[in-house]
Amino acid sequence: MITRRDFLKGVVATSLAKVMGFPVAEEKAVAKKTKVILIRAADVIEKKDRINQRVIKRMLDEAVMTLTGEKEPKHAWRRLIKPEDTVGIKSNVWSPLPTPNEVEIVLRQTLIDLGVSEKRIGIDDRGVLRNPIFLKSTALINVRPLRTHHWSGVGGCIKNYIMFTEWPFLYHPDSCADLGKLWKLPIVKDKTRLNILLMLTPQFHTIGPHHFDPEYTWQYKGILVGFDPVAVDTVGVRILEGKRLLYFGKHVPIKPPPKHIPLADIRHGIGTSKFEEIELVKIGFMEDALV
Amino acid sequence: MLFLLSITLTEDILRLVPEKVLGWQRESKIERYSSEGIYSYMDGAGEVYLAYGFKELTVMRYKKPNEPEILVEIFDMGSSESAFGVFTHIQGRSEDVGVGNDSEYKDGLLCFWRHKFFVCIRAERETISSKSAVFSLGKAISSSIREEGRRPLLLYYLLEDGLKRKTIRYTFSHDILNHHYFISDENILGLSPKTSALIAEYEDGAHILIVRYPKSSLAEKAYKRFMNLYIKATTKKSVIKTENNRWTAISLKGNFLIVVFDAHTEEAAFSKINALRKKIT
Repeated sequence: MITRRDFLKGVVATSLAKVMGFPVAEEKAVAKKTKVILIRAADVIEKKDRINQRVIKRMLDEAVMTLTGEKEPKHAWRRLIKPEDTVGIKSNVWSPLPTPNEVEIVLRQTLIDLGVSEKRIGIDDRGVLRNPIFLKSTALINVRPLRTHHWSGVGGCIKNYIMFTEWPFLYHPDSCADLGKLWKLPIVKDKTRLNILLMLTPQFHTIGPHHFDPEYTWQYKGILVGFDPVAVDTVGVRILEGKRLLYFGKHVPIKPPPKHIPLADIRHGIGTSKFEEIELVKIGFMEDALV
Repeated sequence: MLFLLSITLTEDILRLVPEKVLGWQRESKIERYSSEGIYSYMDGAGEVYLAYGFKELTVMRYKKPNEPEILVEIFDMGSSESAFGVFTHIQGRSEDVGVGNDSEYKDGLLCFWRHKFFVCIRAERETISSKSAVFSLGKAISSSIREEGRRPLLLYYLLEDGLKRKTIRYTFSHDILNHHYFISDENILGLSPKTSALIAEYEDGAHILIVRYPKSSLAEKAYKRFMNLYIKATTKKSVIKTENNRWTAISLKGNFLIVVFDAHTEEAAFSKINALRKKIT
Protein backbone atom coordinates (compact mmCIF):
# COMPACT_ATOMS: atom_id res chain seq x y z
CA MET A 1 0.00 0.00 0.00
CA ILE A 2 1.19 3.52 -0.80
CA THR A 3 -0.07 6.55 1.08
CA ARG A 4 0.47 10.25 0.61
CA ARG A 5 3.04 10.16 3.38
CA ASP A 6 5.18 7.63 1.48
CA PHE A 7 5.50 10.18 -1.28
CA LEU A 8 6.34 12.91 1.20
CA LYS A 9 8.99 10.65 2.76
CA GLY A 10 10.53 9.97 -0.62
CA VAL A 11 10.35 6.20 -0.36
CA VAL A 12 8.36 5.82 -3.53
CA ALA A 13 10.11 5.48 -6.88
CA THR A 14 11.21 8.94 -8.00
CA SER A 15 9.44 8.73 -11.32
CA LEU A 16 6.14 7.81 -9.64
CA ALA A 17 6.55 10.48 -6.97
CA LYS A 18 7.25 13.10 -9.57
CA VAL A 19 4.09 12.46 -11.61
CA MET A 20 2.08 12.42 -8.39
CA GLY A 21 3.20 16.00 -7.86
CA PHE A 22 5.49 15.43 -4.90
CA PRO A 23 8.91 17.04 -4.60
CA VAL A 24 11.79 14.74 -5.49
CA ALA A 25 15.53 14.85 -4.99
CA GLU A 26 17.67 16.06 -7.88
CA GLU A 27 18.29 13.38 -10.47
CA LYS A 28 21.82 12.01 -10.58
CA ALA A 29 23.60 11.19 -13.81
CA VAL A 30 23.48 7.48 -14.63
CA ALA A 31 24.04 5.27 -17.67
CA LYS A 32 21.50 5.97 -20.39
CA LYS A 33 19.16 3.16 -21.32
CA THR A 34 17.00 4.57 -24.05
CA LYS A 35 17.01 7.35 -26.63
CA VAL A 36 14.23 9.83 -27.27
CA ILE A 37 14.39 12.39 -30.07
CA LEU A 38 12.80 15.80 -29.70
CA ILE A 39 12.59 17.67 -32.98
CA ARG A 40 11.04 21.09 -33.45
CA ALA A 41 10.52 23.23 -36.52
CA ALA A 42 9.28 26.81 -36.48
CA ASP A 43 7.65 26.46 -39.90
CA VAL A 44 5.65 23.30 -39.22
CA ILE A 45 2.52 25.30 -38.42
CA GLU A 46 1.47 27.89 -40.97
CA LYS A 47 -1.14 30.62 -40.90
CA LYS A 48 -4.62 29.60 -39.71
CA ASP A 49 -3.02 26.67 -37.86
CA ARG A 50 -2.41 24.65 -41.01
CA ILE A 51 0.16 21.90 -40.71
CA ASN A 52 2.92 21.95 -43.32
CA GLN A 53 3.09 18.40 -44.62
CA ARG A 54 6.51 18.90 -46.21
CA VAL A 55 7.94 19.99 -42.87
CA ILE A 56 6.34 17.03 -41.11
CA LYS A 57 8.11 14.73 -43.59
CA ARG A 58 11.39 16.47 -42.96
CA MET A 59 10.96 16.28 -39.17
CA LEU A 60 10.04 12.61 -39.12
CA ASP A 61 12.86 11.66 -41.48
CA GLU A 62 15.41 13.54 -39.43
CA ALA A 63 14.11 12.13 -36.15
CA VAL A 64 14.22 8.56 -37.41
CA MET A 65 17.71 9.05 -38.88
CA THR A 66 18.95 10.35 -35.53
CA LEU A 67 17.21 7.54 -33.66
CA THR A 68 18.71 4.81 -35.85
CA GLY A 69 22.05 6.46 -36.56
CA GLU A 70 21.52 6.23 -40.31
CA LYS A 71 22.47 9.03 -42.70
CA GLU A 72 19.73 8.52 -45.29
CA PRO A 73 15.98 8.61 -44.53
CA LYS A 74 15.27 5.48 -46.55
CA HIS A 75 17.98 3.50 -44.75
CA ALA A 76 16.68 4.75 -41.43
CA TRP A 77 13.07 3.76 -42.08
CA ARG A 78 14.23 0.40 -43.48
CA ARG A 79 15.71 -0.35 -40.10
CA LEU A 80 12.15 -0.17 -38.75
CA ILE A 81 9.92 -1.54 -41.50
CA LYS A 82 10.41 -4.23 -44.16
CA PRO A 83 8.58 -4.26 -47.49
CA GLU A 84 6.88 -7.53 -46.55
CA ASP A 85 5.47 -6.10 -43.29
CA THR A 86 1.75 -5.57 -42.73
CA VAL A 87 1.74 -2.23 -40.98
CA GLY A 88 -0.91 -0.75 -38.75
CA ILE A 89 -0.60 2.97 -38.04
CA LYS A 90 -2.40 3.40 -34.72
CA SER A 91 -3.69 6.94 -34.89
CA ASN A 92 -6.04 8.97 -32.67
CA VAL A 93 -9.35 10.53 -33.69
CA TRP A 94 -10.31 12.51 -30.56
CA SER A 95 -11.94 15.38 -32.33
CA PRO A 96 -10.67 18.46 -30.50
CA LEU A 97 -7.07 17.31 -31.03
CA PRO A 98 -6.76 14.41 -33.48
CA THR A 99 -3.67 13.11 -35.23
CA PRO A 100 -3.41 15.58 -38.13
CA ASN A 101 -4.23 14.21 -41.54
CA GLU A 102 -0.91 15.56 -42.83
CA VAL A 103 0.99 13.26 -40.44
CA GLU A 104 -1.04 10.23 -41.51
CA ILE A 105 -0.43 11.02 -45.17
CA VAL A 106 3.33 11.35 -44.62
CA LEU A 107 3.51 8.06 -42.76
CA ARG A 108 1.48 6.21 -45.36
CA GLN A 109 3.59 7.56 -48.21
CA THR A 110 6.80 6.77 -46.35
CA LEU A 111 5.73 3.15 -46.07
CA ILE A 112 4.76 2.99 -49.74
CA ASP A 113 8.16 4.42 -50.68
CA LEU A 114 9.76 1.64 -48.65
CA GLY A 115 8.00 -0.90 -50.82
CA VAL A 116 5.14 -1.85 -48.47
CA SER A 117 2.06 -2.64 -50.53
CA GLU A 118 -0.83 -0.21 -49.99
CA LYS A 119 -3.04 -3.23 -49.31
CA ARG A 120 -0.92 -3.98 -46.26
CA ILE A 121 -1.07 -0.51 -44.74
CA GLY A 122 -3.87 0.49 -42.40
CA ILE A 123 -4.56 3.66 -40.42
CA ASP A 124 -7.11 3.35 -37.65
CA ASP A 125 -8.04 4.18 -34.08
CA ARG A 126 -11.36 2.98 -32.67
CA GLY A 127 -11.83 0.30 -35.32
CA VAL A 128 -8.54 -1.56 -34.83
CA LEU A 129 -10.20 -4.70 -33.47
CA ARG A 130 -12.31 -4.97 -36.61
CA ASN A 131 -9.60 -3.90 -39.05
CA PRO A 132 -8.02 -6.85 -40.89
CA ILE A 133 -4.71 -4.98 -41.30
CA PHE A 134 -4.37 -4.62 -37.55
CA LEU A 135 -5.57 -8.13 -36.89
CA LYS A 136 -2.82 -9.46 -39.17
CA SER A 137 -0.23 -6.77 -38.53
CA THR A 138 3.45 -7.60 -38.20
CA ALA A 139 4.42 -4.01 -37.40
CA LEU A 140 2.79 -1.06 -35.66
CA ILE A 141 3.54 2.64 -35.74
CA ASN A 142 2.03 4.41 -32.74
CA VAL A 143 1.18 8.06 -33.38
CA ARG A 144 -0.95 10.64 -31.58
CA PRO A 145 -0.91 14.14 -30.07
CA LEU A 146 -0.11 14.53 -26.39
CA ARG A 147 -2.82 15.93 -24.18
CA THR A 148 -3.92 15.99 -20.58
CA HIS A 149 -6.74 13.54 -19.85
CA HIS A 150 -9.36 13.79 -17.17
CA TRP A 151 -9.11 10.13 -16.06
CA SER A 152 -5.58 8.94 -16.84
CA GLY A 153 -3.78 12.24 -16.35
CA VAL A 154 -2.38 12.30 -19.88
CA GLY A 155 -3.16 10.65 -23.20
CA GLY A 156 0.16 9.67 -24.73
CA CYS A 157 1.83 6.73 -26.40
CA ILE A 158 1.00 4.18 -23.70
CA LYS A 159 -2.67 5.13 -23.55
CA ASN A 160 -3.03 5.14 -27.32
CA TYR A 161 -3.28 1.34 -27.29
CA ILE A 162 -6.51 1.30 -25.24
CA MET A 163 -8.47 0.53 -28.40
CA PHE A 164 -6.69 -2.81 -28.71
CA THR A 165 -8.84 -4.26 -25.95
CA GLU A 166 -12.51 -5.16 -26.18
CA TRP A 167 -12.97 -3.96 -22.61
CA PRO A 168 -11.30 -0.58 -22.14
CA PHE A 169 -13.19 -0.05 -18.89
CA LEU A 170 -11.15 -2.85 -17.28
CA TYR A 171 -8.16 -0.52 -17.50
CA HIS A 172 -9.93 2.47 -15.93
CA PRO A 173 -9.55 1.76 -12.18
CA ASP A 174 -7.17 3.84 -10.12
CA SER A 175 -6.78 6.52 -12.81
CA CYS A 176 -5.87 3.93 -15.46
CA ALA A 177 -2.84 2.82 -13.43
CA ASP A 178 -2.30 -0.37 -15.42
CA LEU A 179 -2.45 0.84 -19.03
CA GLY A 180 1.02 -0.66 -19.41
CA LYS A 181 -0.62 -4.11 -19.45
CA LEU A 182 -2.14 -3.28 -22.85
CA TRP A 183 1.30 -3.53 -24.38
CA LYS A 184 1.44 -7.21 -23.52
CA LEU A 185 -1.73 -8.08 -25.41
CA PRO A 186 -0.95 -10.53 -28.24
CA ILE A 187 -2.33 -8.17 -30.88
CA VAL A 188 0.36 -5.57 -30.06
CA LYS A 189 3.14 -7.35 -28.14
CA ASP A 190 6.60 -6.68 -29.59
CA LYS A 191 5.16 -5.20 -32.79
CA THR A 192 5.67 -1.50 -32.21
CA ARG A 193 8.49 -0.24 -34.42
CA LEU A 194 8.13 3.44 -33.60
CA ASN A 195 6.35 5.72 -31.14
CA ILE A 196 5.55 9.22 -32.36
CA LEU A 197 4.17 11.63 -29.79
CA LEU A 198 3.03 14.78 -31.53
CA MET A 199 3.84 17.95 -29.64
CA LEU A 200 2.67 20.34 -32.37
CA THR A 201 -0.12 21.90 -30.26
CA PRO A 202 -0.29 19.85 -27.06
CA GLN A 203 -2.97 20.37 -24.40
CA PHE A 204 -1.50 21.05 -20.97
CA HIS A 205 -4.56 21.41 -18.74
CA THR A 206 -7.93 19.69 -18.41
CA ILE A 207 -10.86 20.22 -16.08
CA GLY A 208 -13.37 17.38 -16.14
CA PRO A 209 -14.41 14.90 -18.83
CA HIS A 210 -15.82 17.44 -21.26
CA HIS A 211 -12.94 19.71 -21.28
CA PHE A 212 -11.05 21.04 -24.24
CA ASP A 213 -10.09 24.65 -24.13
CA PRO A 214 -7.81 26.14 -26.77
CA GLU A 215 -6.49 28.42 -24.04
CA TYR A 216 -4.75 25.36 -22.60
CA THR A 217 -2.98 24.40 -25.80
CA TRP A 218 0.03 26.07 -27.31
CA GLN A 219 2.15 25.86 -30.43
CA TYR A 220 5.14 23.88 -29.26
CA LYS A 221 5.84 22.76 -32.86
CA GLY A 222 7.59 19.58 -31.81
CA ILE A 223 7.55 15.83 -32.25
CA LEU A 224 8.91 13.24 -29.83
CA VAL A 225 10.08 9.95 -31.32
CA GLY A 226 11.43 6.81 -29.73
CA PHE A 227 11.30 3.04 -29.44
CA ASP A 228 10.31 3.18 -25.77
CA PRO A 229 6.73 4.44 -25.23
CA VAL A 230 7.32 4.99 -21.51
CA ALA A 231 10.38 7.13 -22.14
CA VAL A 232 8.63 9.12 -24.86
CA ASP A 233 5.65 9.78 -22.58
CA THR A 234 7.96 10.69 -19.70
CA VAL A 235 9.63 13.40 -21.77
CA GLY A 236 6.24 14.60 -23.01
CA VAL A 237 4.93 14.95 -19.47
CA ARG A 238 8.08 16.85 -18.47
CA ILE A 239 7.33 19.37 -21.22
CA LEU A 240 3.69 19.70 -20.11
CA GLU A 241 4.81 20.27 -16.53
CA GLY A 242 7.18 22.98 -17.70
CA LYS A 243 4.37 24.70 -19.57
CA ARG A 244 2.06 24.46 -16.56
CA LEU A 245 4.71 26.06 -14.36
CA LEU A 246 5.03 28.94 -16.84
CA TYR A 247 1.28 29.34 -17.22
CA PHE A 248 0.17 29.04 -13.59
CA GLY A 249 3.26 30.66 -12.13
CA LYS A 250 3.60 27.83 -9.61
CA HIS A 251 3.76 24.06 -9.49
CA VAL A 252 0.24 22.76 -10.20
CA PRO A 253 0.38 18.96 -10.55
CA ILE A 254 -1.47 17.34 -13.42
CA LYS A 255 -4.76 16.03 -12.09
CA PRO A 256 -5.14 13.09 -11.85
CA PRO A 257 -1.45 12.27 -11.85
CA PRO A 258 -0.45 10.22 -14.92
CA LYS A 259 0.87 7.42 -12.77
CA HIS A 260 0.29 4.85 -15.49
CA ILE A 261 3.56 6.06 -17.02
CA PRO A 262 5.95 5.22 -14.15
CA LEU A 263 3.86 2.15 -13.34
CA ALA A 264 4.30 0.95 -16.93
CA ASP A 265 7.99 0.88 -15.99
CA ILE A 266 7.91 -0.20 -12.33
CA ARG A 267 5.03 -2.64 -12.47
CA HIS A 268 4.89 -3.81 -16.09
CA GLY A 269 8.45 -3.40 -17.32
CA ILE A 270 7.61 -2.03 -20.76
CA GLY A 271 9.97 0.91 -20.70
CA THR A 272 11.97 3.50 -18.77
CA SER A 273 10.34 6.28 -16.77
CA LYS A 274 13.44 7.55 -15.01
CA PHE A 275 14.39 10.77 -16.73
CA GLU A 276 18.05 10.36 -15.85
CA GLU A 277 18.14 7.12 -17.84
CA ILE A 278 16.75 8.72 -20.99
CA GLU A 279 19.12 10.13 -23.59
CA LEU A 280 17.21 13.09 -24.94
CA VAL A 281 18.52 14.28 -28.30
CA LYS A 282 17.23 17.68 -29.38
CA ILE A 283 17.04 18.85 -32.98
CA GLY A 284 15.88 22.19 -34.30
CA PHE A 285 15.03 25.39 -32.48
CA MET A 286 14.95 24.98 -28.73
CA GLU A 287 13.64 28.32 -27.54
CA ASP A 288 11.14 27.60 -24.72
CA ALA A 289 11.77 23.88 -25.10
CA LEU A 290 10.85 23.38 -21.42
CA VAL A 291 13.06 20.30 -21.22
CA MET B 1 -24.72 1.10 -29.47
CA LEU B 2 -27.94 2.58 -28.05
CA PHE B 3 -29.83 1.09 -25.17
CA LEU B 4 -33.58 1.50 -25.62
CA LEU B 5 -35.44 3.06 -22.72
CA SER B 6 -39.07 3.67 -21.93
CA ILE B 7 -41.15 6.10 -23.95
CA THR B 8 -42.36 7.75 -20.78
CA LEU B 9 -38.80 8.64 -19.83
CA THR B 10 -38.16 10.11 -23.27
CA GLU B 11 -41.23 12.30 -23.03
CA ASP B 12 -40.23 13.49 -19.58
CA ILE B 13 -36.81 14.63 -20.77
CA LEU B 14 -38.19 16.16 -23.98
CA ARG B 15 -40.54 18.29 -21.90
CA LEU B 16 -37.47 19.94 -20.39
CA VAL B 17 -35.94 20.85 -23.70
CA PRO B 18 -37.21 23.41 -26.27
CA GLU B 19 -37.51 22.39 -29.91
CA LYS B 20 -36.17 25.65 -31.19
CA VAL B 21 -33.97 28.36 -29.74
CA LEU B 22 -32.70 31.49 -31.49
CA GLY B 23 -32.91 29.75 -34.86
CA TRP B 24 -31.30 26.49 -33.76
CA GLN B 25 -33.56 23.51 -34.42
CA ARG B 26 -33.45 20.35 -32.36
CA GLU B 27 -32.77 17.26 -34.46
CA SER B 28 -35.37 14.52 -34.31
CA LYS B 29 -32.82 11.82 -33.46
CA ILE B 30 -32.30 11.57 -29.73
CA GLU B 31 -29.63 9.33 -28.25
CA ARG B 32 -30.15 7.56 -24.95
CA TYR B 33 -27.51 5.75 -22.93
CA SER B 34 -27.87 3.71 -19.78
CA SER B 35 -25.05 3.11 -17.32
CA GLU B 36 -24.06 -0.01 -19.26
CA GLY B 37 -23.94 1.86 -22.54
CA ILE B 38 -22.17 5.06 -21.59
CA TYR B 39 -18.72 3.87 -22.69
CA SER B 40 -19.92 3.58 -26.25
CA TYR B 41 -20.73 7.29 -26.18
CA MET B 42 -17.82 8.72 -24.24
CA ASP B 43 -15.20 6.03 -23.63
CA GLY B 44 -13.30 6.61 -20.39
CA ALA B 45 -15.15 9.82 -19.56
CA GLY B 46 -18.03 7.58 -18.51
CA GLU B 47 -16.11 6.54 -15.40
CA VAL B 48 -16.70 9.90 -13.74
CA TYR B 49 -20.45 9.64 -14.11
CA LEU B 50 -20.54 5.99 -13.11
CA ALA B 51 -18.60 6.82 -9.96
CA TYR B 52 -21.44 9.14 -9.04
CA GLY B 53 -24.18 6.57 -9.67
CA PHE B 54 -25.25 7.85 -13.06
CA LYS B 55 -28.57 6.41 -14.32
CA GLU B 56 -29.13 7.65 -17.85
CA LEU B 57 -27.87 10.11 -20.43
CA THR B 58 -29.94 11.85 -23.07
CA VAL B 59 -28.12 13.51 -25.95
CA MET B 60 -29.66 16.00 -28.35
CA ARG B 61 -28.20 18.10 -31.12
CA TYR B 62 -29.26 21.49 -32.38
CA LYS B 63 -28.45 22.80 -35.81
CA LYS B 64 -28.72 26.16 -37.53
CA PRO B 65 -27.47 26.91 -41.04
CA ASN B 66 -24.00 28.52 -41.05
CA GLU B 67 -23.73 28.24 -37.31
CA PRO B 68 -21.89 25.70 -35.13
CA GLU B 69 -23.79 22.70 -33.88
CA ILE B 70 -24.90 22.70 -30.25
CA LEU B 71 -24.81 19.47 -28.23
CA VAL B 72 -27.04 19.03 -25.20
CA GLU B 73 -26.26 16.26 -22.71
CA ILE B 74 -28.66 15.69 -19.84
CA PHE B 75 -27.35 13.29 -17.22
CA ASP B 76 -29.94 11.82 -14.88
CA MET B 77 -27.72 11.25 -11.87
CA GLY B 78 -30.44 9.66 -9.78
CA SER B 79 -30.20 12.21 -6.94
CA SER B 80 -29.42 15.87 -6.41
CA GLU B 81 -26.43 14.87 -4.29
CA SER B 82 -24.94 13.00 -7.22
CA ALA B 83 -25.68 15.83 -9.64
CA PHE B 84 -24.02 18.28 -7.25
CA GLY B 85 -21.09 15.91 -6.86
CA VAL B 86 -20.45 15.63 -10.58
CA PHE B 87 -20.58 19.39 -10.85
CA THR B 88 -17.98 19.81 -8.09
CA HIS B 89 -15.72 17.29 -9.85
CA ILE B 90 -15.41 19.58 -12.84
CA GLN B 91 -15.77 23.01 -11.31
CA GLY B 92 -13.04 25.59 -11.50
CA ARG B 93 -13.39 26.91 -15.06
CA SER B 94 -15.26 30.08 -14.27
CA GLU B 95 -17.33 31.93 -11.73
CA ASP B 96 -21.01 31.07 -11.46
CA VAL B 97 -23.09 32.22 -14.45
CA GLY B 98 -26.52 32.08 -12.91
CA VAL B 99 -28.00 28.98 -14.56
CA GLY B 100 -29.45 26.13 -12.52
CA ASN B 101 -28.31 25.75 -8.91
CA ASP B 102 -24.61 26.14 -9.76
CA SER B 103 -23.13 26.71 -13.18
CA GLU B 104 -19.99 27.51 -15.12
CA TYR B 105 -19.35 28.63 -18.66
CA LYS B 106 -16.20 28.88 -20.73
CA ASP B 107 -15.42 28.71 -24.45
CA GLY B 108 -18.76 27.40 -25.59
CA LEU B 109 -19.35 24.90 -22.77
CA LEU B 110 -22.05 25.53 -20.17
CA CYS B 111 -22.43 23.05 -17.29
CA PHE B 112 -24.94 23.24 -14.48
CA TRP B 113 -26.92 21.07 -12.08
CA ARG B 114 -30.48 21.25 -10.87
CA HIS B 115 -32.50 18.59 -9.00
CA LYS B 116 -31.09 15.19 -10.06
CA PHE B 117 -29.82 16.45 -13.43
CA PHE B 118 -26.36 17.47 -14.49
CA VAL B 119 -26.51 19.25 -17.83
CA CYS B 120 -23.79 20.14 -20.33
CA ILE B 121 -24.50 22.29 -23.34
CA ARG B 122 -21.67 22.71 -25.77
CA ALA B 123 -21.32 24.73 -28.95
CA GLU B 124 -18.88 23.21 -31.43
CA ARG B 125 -17.40 26.68 -31.69
CA GLU B 126 -18.08 29.78 -29.63
CA THR B 127 -19.59 32.66 -31.56
CA ILE B 128 -21.67 35.55 -30.23
CA SER B 129 -24.84 33.83 -31.44
CA SER B 130 -23.91 30.32 -30.31
CA LYS B 131 -23.10 31.67 -26.85
CA SER B 132 -26.53 33.31 -26.66
CA ALA B 133 -28.16 30.09 -27.83
CA VAL B 134 -26.25 28.01 -25.29
CA PHE B 135 -27.37 30.27 -22.47
CA SER B 136 -30.96 30.39 -23.72
CA LEU B 137 -31.06 26.60 -23.86
CA GLY B 138 -29.53 26.33 -20.42
CA LYS B 139 -32.01 28.72 -18.85
CA ALA B 140 -34.94 27.04 -20.63
CA ILE B 141 -33.90 23.59 -19.43
CA SER B 142 -33.20 24.80 -15.92
CA SER B 143 -36.56 26.51 -15.56
CA SER B 144 -38.32 23.40 -16.91
CA ILE B 145 -36.88 21.34 -14.06
CA ARG B 146 -39.43 22.21 -11.44
CA GLU B 147 -37.72 20.71 -8.41
CA GLU B 148 -34.60 22.48 -7.26
CA GLY B 149 -32.91 19.62 -5.46
CA ARG B 150 -30.77 19.95 -2.37
CA ARG B 151 -27.12 20.48 -1.78
CA PRO B 152 -25.58 17.77 0.44
CA LEU B 153 -25.72 18.23 4.16
CA LEU B 154 -21.94 17.90 4.46
CA LEU B 155 -21.56 21.23 2.68
CA TYR B 156 -23.06 23.07 5.63
CA TYR B 157 -20.46 21.68 8.00
CA LEU B 158 -17.53 23.22 6.15
CA LEU B 159 -15.77 26.09 7.88
CA GLU B 160 -16.33 29.28 5.90
CA ASP B 161 -13.28 31.22 6.99
CA GLY B 162 -10.57 30.99 4.30
CA LEU B 163 -12.50 28.40 2.27
CA LYS B 164 -11.59 28.25 -1.43
CA ARG B 165 -15.08 27.48 -2.73
CA LYS B 166 -14.03 26.29 -6.16
CA THR B 167 -11.95 23.51 -4.58
CA ILE B 168 -14.96 21.86 -2.94
CA ARG B 169 -15.29 18.27 -4.18
CA TYR B 170 -18.12 15.98 -3.16
CA THR B 171 -17.90 12.27 -3.86
CA PHE B 172 -18.77 8.71 -2.85
CA SER B 173 -15.73 7.27 -4.54
CA HIS B 174 -12.19 6.57 -3.41
CA ASP B 175 -10.89 7.04 -6.98
CA ILE B 176 -12.50 10.44 -7.34
CA LEU B 177 -11.20 11.56 -3.95
CA ASN B 178 -7.69 10.45 -4.95
CA HIS B 179 -8.10 12.31 -8.21
CA HIS B 180 -8.35 15.57 -6.30
CA TYR B 181 -6.23 14.80 -3.23
CA PHE B 182 -4.26 11.57 -3.17
CA ILE B 183 -4.49 9.85 0.24
CA SER B 184 -3.76 6.19 -0.40
CA ASP B 185 -3.95 3.72 -3.28
CA GLU B 186 -6.07 1.50 -1.02
CA ASN B 187 -9.49 2.59 0.16
CA ILE B 188 -8.51 3.01 3.81
CA LEU B 189 -11.40 5.35 4.51
CA GLY B 190 -13.90 2.74 3.32
CA LEU B 191 -15.66 5.01 0.82
CA SER B 192 -18.61 3.44 -0.99
CA PRO B 193 -21.93 4.46 -2.56
CA LYS B 194 -23.32 4.38 1.00
CA THR B 195 -20.87 6.96 2.30
CA SER B 196 -20.40 10.57 1.29
CA ALA B 197 -17.22 12.62 1.40
CA LEU B 198 -16.43 16.27 1.00
CA ILE B 199 -12.96 17.76 0.66
CA ALA B 200 -11.97 21.39 0.29
CA GLU B 201 -8.83 23.50 0.35
CA TYR B 202 -8.27 26.59 2.46
CA GLU B 203 -6.28 29.76 1.97
CA ASP B 204 -3.72 28.61 4.56
CA GLY B 205 -3.00 25.46 2.52
CA ALA B 206 -4.90 23.07 4.78
CA HIS B 207 -7.39 20.58 3.39
CA ILE B 208 -10.49 19.50 5.30
CA LEU B 209 -12.09 16.14 4.61
CA ILE B 210 -15.45 15.17 6.11
CA VAL B 211 -16.83 11.68 5.57
CA ARG B 212 -20.29 10.57 6.60
CA TYR B 213 -20.93 6.86 7.12
CA PRO B 214 -24.31 5.10 7.32
CA LYS B 215 -23.39 3.74 10.78
CA SER B 216 -21.06 4.91 13.52
CA SER B 217 -19.45 1.45 13.60
CA LEU B 218 -18.24 1.95 10.01
CA ALA B 219 -16.91 5.39 10.88
CA GLU B 220 -15.06 3.87 13.79
CA LYS B 221 -13.53 1.16 11.59
CA ALA B 222 -12.35 3.80 9.13
CA TYR B 223 -10.93 5.85 11.99
CA LYS B 224 -8.92 2.89 13.27
CA ARG B 225 -7.65 2.04 9.77
CA PHE B 226 -6.56 5.61 9.19
CA MET B 227 -4.82 5.72 12.58
CA ASN B 228 -2.99 2.45 11.89
CA LEU B 229 -2.13 2.90 8.25
CA TYR B 230 -1.77 6.66 7.82
CA ILE B 231 -1.13 8.36 11.15
CA LYS B 232 0.86 5.31 12.32
CA ALA B 233 1.08 6.82 15.75
CA THR B 234 2.75 4.83 18.47
CA THR B 235 0.47 6.49 21.00
CA LYS B 236 -3.26 7.12 20.74
CA LYS B 237 -2.62 10.70 19.64
CA SER B 238 -4.77 11.47 16.65
CA VAL B 239 -2.47 14.09 15.21
CA ILE B 240 0.91 13.84 13.52
CA LYS B 241 3.50 16.05 11.93
CA THR B 242 3.91 14.71 8.41
CA GLU B 243 7.01 14.65 6.28
CA ASN B 244 6.30 18.04 4.72
CA ASN B 245 6.38 19.68 8.19
CA ARG B 246 2.62 20.16 8.21
CA TRP B 247 0.09 18.60 10.55
CA THR B 248 -2.61 16.02 9.94
CA ALA B 249 -5.32 15.36 12.53
CA ILE B 250 -8.31 13.08 12.63
CA SER B 251 -11.45 13.01 14.75
CA LEU B 252 -14.45 10.75 15.03
CA LYS B 253 -17.90 12.07 15.90
CA GLY B 254 -20.75 9.59 15.71
CA ASN B 255 -20.97 8.48 12.10
CA PHE B 256 -18.68 11.29 10.88
CA LEU B 257 -14.96 11.23 10.31
CA ILE B 258 -13.11 14.55 10.13
CA VAL B 259 -9.57 14.81 8.81
CA VAL B 260 -7.49 17.97 8.54
CA PHE B 261 -4.46 17.66 6.26
CA ASP B 262 -1.55 20.07 5.96
CA ALA B 263 -2.39 22.45 8.80
CA HIS B 264 0.49 24.85 9.56
CA THR B 265 0.68 23.93 13.23
CA GLU B 266 -0.69 21.32 15.61
CA GLU B 267 -2.82 24.03 17.20
CA ALA B 268 -4.24 25.05 13.81
CA ALA B 269 -5.12 21.42 13.06
CA PHE B 270 -6.97 21.03 16.37
CA SER B 271 -8.61 24.41 16.02
CA LYS B 272 -10.18 23.33 12.75
CA ILE B 273 -11.11 19.92 14.15
CA ASN B 274 -12.83 21.47 17.18
CA ALA B 275 -14.69 24.00 15.07
CA LEU B 276 -15.94 21.21 12.81
CA ARG B 277 -16.98 19.04 15.74
CA LYS B 278 -19.13 21.92 17.07
CA LYS B 279 -20.85 22.29 13.69
CA ILE B 280 -21.55 18.59 13.16
CA THR B 281 -24.59 17.63 15.21
